[in-house]
Amino acid sequence: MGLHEWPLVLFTVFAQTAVGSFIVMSLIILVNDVNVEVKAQLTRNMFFVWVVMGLGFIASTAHLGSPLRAFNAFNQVGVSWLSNEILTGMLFFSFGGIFWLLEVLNKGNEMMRKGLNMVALFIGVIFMYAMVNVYLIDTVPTWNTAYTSLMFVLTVFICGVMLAQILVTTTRYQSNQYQYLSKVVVGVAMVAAIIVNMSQIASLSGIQTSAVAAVDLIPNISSLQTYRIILLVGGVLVWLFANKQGTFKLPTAIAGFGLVLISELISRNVFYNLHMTVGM
Amino acid sequence: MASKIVQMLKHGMTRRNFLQTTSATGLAAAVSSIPLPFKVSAANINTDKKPLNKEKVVWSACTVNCGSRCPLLMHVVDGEIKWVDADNTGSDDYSKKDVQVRACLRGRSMRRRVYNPDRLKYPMKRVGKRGQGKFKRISWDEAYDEIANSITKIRKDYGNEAIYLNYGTGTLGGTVTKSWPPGKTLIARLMNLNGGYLNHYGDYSTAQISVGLNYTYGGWAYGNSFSDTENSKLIVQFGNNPAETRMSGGGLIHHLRESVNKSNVKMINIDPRYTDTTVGFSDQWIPIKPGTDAAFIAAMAHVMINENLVDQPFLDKYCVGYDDKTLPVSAPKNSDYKSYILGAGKDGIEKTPLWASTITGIPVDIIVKTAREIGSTKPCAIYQGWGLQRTATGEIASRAVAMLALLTGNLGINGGGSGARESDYSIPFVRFPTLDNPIKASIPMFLWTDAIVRGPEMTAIADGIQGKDKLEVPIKFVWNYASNCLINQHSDINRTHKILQDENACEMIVVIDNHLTSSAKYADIVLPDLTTSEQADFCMDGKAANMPYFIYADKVIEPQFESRSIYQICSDLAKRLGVEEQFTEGRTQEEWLRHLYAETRKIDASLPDFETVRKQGIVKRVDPNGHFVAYQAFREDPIKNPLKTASGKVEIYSAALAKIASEWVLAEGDVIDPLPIYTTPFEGWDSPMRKQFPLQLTGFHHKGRCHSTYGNVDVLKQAAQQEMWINPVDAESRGISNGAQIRIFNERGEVLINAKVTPRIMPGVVAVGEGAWYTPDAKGVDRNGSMNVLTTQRPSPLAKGNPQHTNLVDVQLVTRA
Amino acid sequence: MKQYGFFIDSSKCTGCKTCQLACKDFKNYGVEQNFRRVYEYTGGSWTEDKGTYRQDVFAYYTSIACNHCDEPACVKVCPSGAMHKREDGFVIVAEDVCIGCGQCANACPYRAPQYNAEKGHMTKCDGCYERVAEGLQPVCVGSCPLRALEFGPIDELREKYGTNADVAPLPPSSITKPNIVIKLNGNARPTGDTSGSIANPREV
Repeated sequence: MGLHEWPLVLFTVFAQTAVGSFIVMSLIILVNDVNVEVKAQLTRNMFFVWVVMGLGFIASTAHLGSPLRAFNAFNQVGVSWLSNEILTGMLFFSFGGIFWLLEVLNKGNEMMRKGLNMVALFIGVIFMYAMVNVYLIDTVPTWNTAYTSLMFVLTVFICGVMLAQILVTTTRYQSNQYQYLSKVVVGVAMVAAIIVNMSQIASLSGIQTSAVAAVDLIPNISSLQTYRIILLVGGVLVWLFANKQGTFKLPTAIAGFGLVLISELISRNVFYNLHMTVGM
Repeated sequence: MASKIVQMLKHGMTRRNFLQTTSATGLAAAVSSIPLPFKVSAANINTDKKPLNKEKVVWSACTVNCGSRCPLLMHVVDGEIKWVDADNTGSDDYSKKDVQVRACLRGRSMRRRVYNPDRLKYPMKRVGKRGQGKFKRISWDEAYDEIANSITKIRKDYGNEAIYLNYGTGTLGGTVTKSWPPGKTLIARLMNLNGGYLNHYGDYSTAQISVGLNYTYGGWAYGNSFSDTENSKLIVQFGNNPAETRMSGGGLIHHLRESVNKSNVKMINIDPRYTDTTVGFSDQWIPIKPGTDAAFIAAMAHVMINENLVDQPFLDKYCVGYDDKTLPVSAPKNSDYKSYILGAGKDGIEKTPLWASTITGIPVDIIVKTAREIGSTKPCAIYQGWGLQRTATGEIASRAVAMLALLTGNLGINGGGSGARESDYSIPFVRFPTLDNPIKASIPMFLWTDAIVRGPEMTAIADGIQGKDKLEVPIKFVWNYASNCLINQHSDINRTHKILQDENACEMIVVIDNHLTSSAKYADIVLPDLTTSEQADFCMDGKAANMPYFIYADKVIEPQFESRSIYQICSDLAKRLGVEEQFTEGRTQEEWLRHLYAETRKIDASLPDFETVRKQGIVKRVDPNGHFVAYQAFREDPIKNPLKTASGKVEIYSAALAKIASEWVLAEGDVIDPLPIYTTPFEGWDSPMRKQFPLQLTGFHHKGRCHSTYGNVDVLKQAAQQEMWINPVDAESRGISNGAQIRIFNERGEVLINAKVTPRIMPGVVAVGEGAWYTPDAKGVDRNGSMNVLTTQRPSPLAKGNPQHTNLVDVQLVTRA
Repeated sequence: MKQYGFFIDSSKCTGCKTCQLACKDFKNYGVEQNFRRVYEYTGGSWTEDKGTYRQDVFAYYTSIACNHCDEPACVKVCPSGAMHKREDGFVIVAEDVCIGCGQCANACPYRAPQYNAEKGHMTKCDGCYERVAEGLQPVCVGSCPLRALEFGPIDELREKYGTNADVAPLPPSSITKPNIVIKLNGNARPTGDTSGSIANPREV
């Protein structure tokens, strides 16, 4: 399986992780009346969300043949989903980043910060919607499916919620409800991801043109899927173990998240390698 | 870069004029390397091109051995060819006989030959061993001295019979620059002024058929022009593939296409390979095992005889030996063709469809159906290409194809044919006179390597020596002008390599070429020749049915590096050898062109004058007789217009062949017979050798090259890959999938190549495009798919020709796809 | 808008690739770019019966460059607008604007947009629109030795040759509405056929 699409693999997975974890963390800040100390800790830890998002954007520029012309990518907003995706991604980064900066520097009034937070949240969702639509191209039968939407969204849930949980649990924010919800969401999303992945691979046998059969695109797809599932399940279990009652073992939780992230990267790479058109 | 930024800022750019400046001054480079705070959209980009720099358009030509000859329109800027266009003049209306002579993919890539990194730049002398390709640069004077001294020495020690002009067709059709026929080249003229040289007869294209059909029709055998197929009701082709061997858009594939469109006639292609001709004329493909065509034909003859489909009156009036009625007196009883077919001949075997089916691989019902079709459709055009004859039994097999035309009486009529390859009308043109050769001895062209090793042992009755009973001396000096036959195109490369290693055997090899070919690596002296683009010459000899033409290829660019024209090289050598005045007759190359053209206009005053032709580039004509019909005069009146055979008639039974068969000394298994019988060759489909080497290897003309010419052009190599065709059945049992790297091997050598797994080739048969440049690794394994590593130097029985399509090999997977 | 298009006569095409190389020479590209490609579609099988063979082998060639579609998949996805459709119907990439993201190449089912590593952006068949503006033919069309390619206003071509734009291995023409008319080879298989395969993948 080729690795030539690594920039987009990283970009999409990291972006989805960042958006997901931002949504969780900013919702906590928005919805709850957290005290100043906790808010500061949450804000501090949110730094890593922006690191992930930033790494994703940097990776995406490696995908371009002429990265120094990158701003031309905004020309077709409203017409091209890719243009939309880049714009909303940038806006998400901007609004969310400014919101975060204001929180860190403790500048700006409450209303403005809340406003920015909500805008960033909203744009983040649109960003994800645009990202899915980039790949719903009617001439690419292996991408233009409900599986694409589902897999992309599930990455938001699995990676986003997991990363958020790690970043949140290392603050003083206490909420059994939140912890329980995180585990449930991750667990359900994991099961859903496995079902979606396996259904998608099964569906490949129905996609064939005169030029190529989808099942032939990745010769070792079955073993890759197996690794992906093992890593996913293993990662989630490790993460759950790290969260066992009483103590929270940060390194273990990070390890669990790492395994899940690798699993997502493998799955995303499979996705890109499944590219084919309705013609040649 | 900094100055460009300053410039940009200074002008107070608006987006609009920024973009215009970009395209006009080339700031685009700066633009793409500066991160833009503003974006650039397509709507503002001026995509209309600015006017080109001063561009010259000059006529040139492609002069390779493809059976065509195309003009090329060179677009030149600042002394460099920028792109190559083809003939775009006239209306291109076939019905008005105004056809554009459009170059094929190779001619269009000519620029990449002229500017190829392999281009020879200056004279060189070998420093390593022959074949290593290690040379040192020498001056022209040094090179001339070496050559002249060698000629003088070898003349003194051995005589001129030891000097040989090797077959080479790298430059064809010119009046000055042609490299073939050898006796018509400037090298021949030079040598004829210096005692002469050893002749050769035959060529790698037609050795067997030219001899075989000579005994049927007398002399070179003609076929009906392809344009005549507009009158046919059925076309049958044996191993004829004009879509890949006559590819010019002013050449035969276009004529065949247009003519078949007119007559809407069905075409049957008989070939082990589903060729591109079969693709383009998608009627019927009859796959046949290589070397068994004569059996197929014999069985069809059986059907026609039994079902009364033969044209008895024709056979009685025009032919000798069909049945006992016309058998010559000298012939033994039951040695006529009909007896042979019906089992009354000396082998006692009836040539039934069942008998032929296991030999040929063709089912009985298809044999019968085809025979009935040919026998009952008139006029039926029977053609063979030159693949069928390039085999170990090629002479006799080529005679067998003629039988189909003869049995059905299709000879000499419109829409019919003779069974030979198609012929064309040509414009008479006076060529460079090359004088007479004092040496009369002539060897079969294929046996030149034998003539190096055992020349004095070669005789007329064992080795086909002509002009003499035997050779006196071995070959000591080889001229190799525009030829890759020194190693690449000659059979059994490993044997040739060994023979050429002995510097006491062949003492001097002179190579004159444009590129450092695989043959050039075996030279002792290498001389860099001009390409067609770097000199002026008339170019012609393109086969074009009833619409011939000739081209004035002008000098497009200055000679590259130290290259010199063949005329200059020979003139300079003539001077060294003291015959300059006789060689040049006081003329420059251009003066010779003018002189020869003036002589040509004496034959045909309607031709335009020299200056007009030079500007016009191409002069087109039309056959005044409509279509060339082979042996039409003979068919109309066989008494007044006899053939050049001994009897004056078509000789199905050839008494001359019977005589040769009784007198010649033949190798074991070789057969010469007065009749066009089926005989099994060495290394044939039924050879016991198949236990070890089960696959029959046949070659074909590769469309990315013309033989080996263009074999060093990267874009052609990518567009038309060098691959070995293998049937999925044979591939699967060897674990070979499409695109896998494989080795082909037999006792003569080993070749690495990629596999094309395709149903377009028969099971049991594999095929490789000939001409790929021999590229051996340290172990002597060729890595470029060079077919002649696997072919044999054992000659065919009668013509002593090249049986390059008769080989047995096996194939193994090397690397998965 | 005047829409130009190509007529491709697969019944005449012998797969010689002259069109492919003529374009390449004119546009001065090397081995990486193949704006016009000649696809070999081949299939069929063999059965042996007592030493004789029967077969139903078929093969034909289809020469394809850019079809300058009515609904070009490439234009739809391009984020920079570099890929655009002109007034004369040609779909071209503004090489000064393109950022080289490759999304057009992902979308096009005819493999027309091709990434050029040296330039860092996409390139493609532009219909030789500059030659067309001067009243000349695209280089590929005039180069064909078999006269299997024609070019002109698409409605004129459709009137002359019909409207078929479908054949294996091409995609269904209903998707991007390519401006081509194809005359089928005697062996032609319909779009979507899977009994054969593209037999020359490394040449296109």
